[in-house]
Amino acid sequence: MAYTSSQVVQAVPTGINSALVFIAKTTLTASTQHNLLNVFSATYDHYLVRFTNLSAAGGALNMRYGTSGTPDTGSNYSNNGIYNDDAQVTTTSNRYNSSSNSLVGNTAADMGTFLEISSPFLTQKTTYTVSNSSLSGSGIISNLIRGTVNTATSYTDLVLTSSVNISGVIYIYGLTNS
Amino acid sequence: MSKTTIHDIALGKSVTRNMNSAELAQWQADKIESEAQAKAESDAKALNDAKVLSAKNKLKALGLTDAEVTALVG
Repeated sequence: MAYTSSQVVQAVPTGINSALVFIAKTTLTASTQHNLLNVFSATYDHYLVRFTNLSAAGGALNMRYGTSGTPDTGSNYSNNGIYNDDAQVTTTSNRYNSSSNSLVGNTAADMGTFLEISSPFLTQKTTYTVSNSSLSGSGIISNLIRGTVNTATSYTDLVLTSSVNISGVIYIYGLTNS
Repeated sequence: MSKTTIHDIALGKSVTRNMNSAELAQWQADKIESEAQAKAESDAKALNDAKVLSAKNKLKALGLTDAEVTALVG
């Protein structure tokens, strides 16, 4: 297909050939846990997850994977990252090994978050990278976190969990291999 | 009672319900783990802040101005 210079190439619906394919959108209302079933499949190896107005104010937001409705709560999750708080002009490193979940973001409201997940459905280690930022008073706090699951499990589900209610809108995209 | 929402992405349906006993136990364990991680972060930051302050004071004792110290270590 030919494009003119004024056209914008966007993610397209399932069934149309594209490198980035929109899979689903769902609204997260006030629950402390959201279990998203049948997110990952053999169709894609890599996924991009975008959140808008994501809030878990007062508690960290974590995630884990699951298979057919059963979350993997084993101590196989490890991640490290950098947390910036410009109100205090500080940078702090985070490092968690053998945890039962992975960190998505620290205490914040209205986090703008991008999450990239690689190989969740394949029987190999799943990795992820997440970046987010939000306002904390007059300053911006941000996270850049990377992590892995130290098991070669095939996952279908994504579970978001927090000690406080999670709300926002989640958009899920698949990245084609070719 | 904490709630969980099940979103079936393939079917486009969402159901919110109270957590069952197993889910609630896991959620409580997650909460304890998360709070421990937050405390570890807070403790590490406080320790680092103390080291930065100590370093600044030592630099000032060597004769550096506040502006020069800030330029070096923020």
